[in-house]
Amino acid sequence: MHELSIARSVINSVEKICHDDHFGKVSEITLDIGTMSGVSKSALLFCWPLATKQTLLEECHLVINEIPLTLECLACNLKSSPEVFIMCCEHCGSGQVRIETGNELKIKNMEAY
Amino acid sequence: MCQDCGCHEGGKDYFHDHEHSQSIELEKSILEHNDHIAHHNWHYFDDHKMEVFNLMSSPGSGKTRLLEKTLQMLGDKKKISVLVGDQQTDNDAQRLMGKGGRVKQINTYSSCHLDASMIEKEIGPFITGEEEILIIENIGNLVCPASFELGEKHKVALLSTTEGEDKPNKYPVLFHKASVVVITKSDLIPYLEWDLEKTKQNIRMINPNARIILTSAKTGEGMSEWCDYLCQKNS
Repeated sequence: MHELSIARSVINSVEKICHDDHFGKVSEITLDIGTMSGVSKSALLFCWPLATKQTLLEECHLVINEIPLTLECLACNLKSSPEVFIMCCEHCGSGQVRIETGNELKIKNMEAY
Repeated sequence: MCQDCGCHEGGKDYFHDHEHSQSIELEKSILEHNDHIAHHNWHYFDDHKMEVFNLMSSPGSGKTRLLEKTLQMLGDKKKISVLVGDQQTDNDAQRLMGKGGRVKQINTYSSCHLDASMIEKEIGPFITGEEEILIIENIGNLVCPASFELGEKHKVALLSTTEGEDKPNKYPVLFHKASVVVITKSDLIPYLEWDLEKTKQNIRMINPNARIILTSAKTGEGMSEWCDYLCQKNS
């Protein structure tokens, strides 16, 4: 349950931006969470209302985009999106693959006023 | 009334769907703050020519037993410090004290992982910069520690023979990030229905470039290879 730490990191980052840019309240936050980031969407949604209490993000709507795993094969240059994590090209079987998407853990945008 | 601009929109005093709200593109890493501290830790370790290892595994996989043996074997050859993380108790630090290195326990209480600030706090009070090797024994957990950079140079995953062959597939994030996977408790292999080759295949499916070291802290199997690995950049 490190999602509470993740929620706190989001809140701290966003409150700093609000302070610097003179926003008083945040109404919506959008996060990109990759399937390989190790962060659970449901656990993050579960702790979000509690974590944001008495912050500028209280009652803020949390939108989470789940980013699927995409591998790029360095041997055949084709892309694959395995359901289960495996460092192997679905097309040619090579293990020489690069993770293109799926590691994301970022604050995409926010609505504030 | 809106406390920011004085308009009378929305049903609540303060928060409502506000027509003056702005959409701000951020594209900012959630863990930016932790990564920033980890970056400073990394530079401190690099400036002091320290090799720093972050040991991660499930509880009971044998991290502390491996370190007991490691300190006994390397303690008189290298300046080693060990930070051990647990939610509560200093049992692990007590076990490691007097074995051949400096040891300090970190208790995280409610937290399921170590983060970079917990290591930063130990620079000065415990980490002196004179260490050749710093080993950080993370909280026993195969999920959460994988997300938090500490500033270490090497991530090491431990996998005990009693955990079965498919732990790397079940918890791929941690095993994917490790540069070395240490298989522990090899002395139990004769008593288990456990297949070494299958385990190695599973590790390679998740992390084709990981080095795999088979060890038993009890019999000493593989301990020289493990100690050589710890020392190779320090010789």
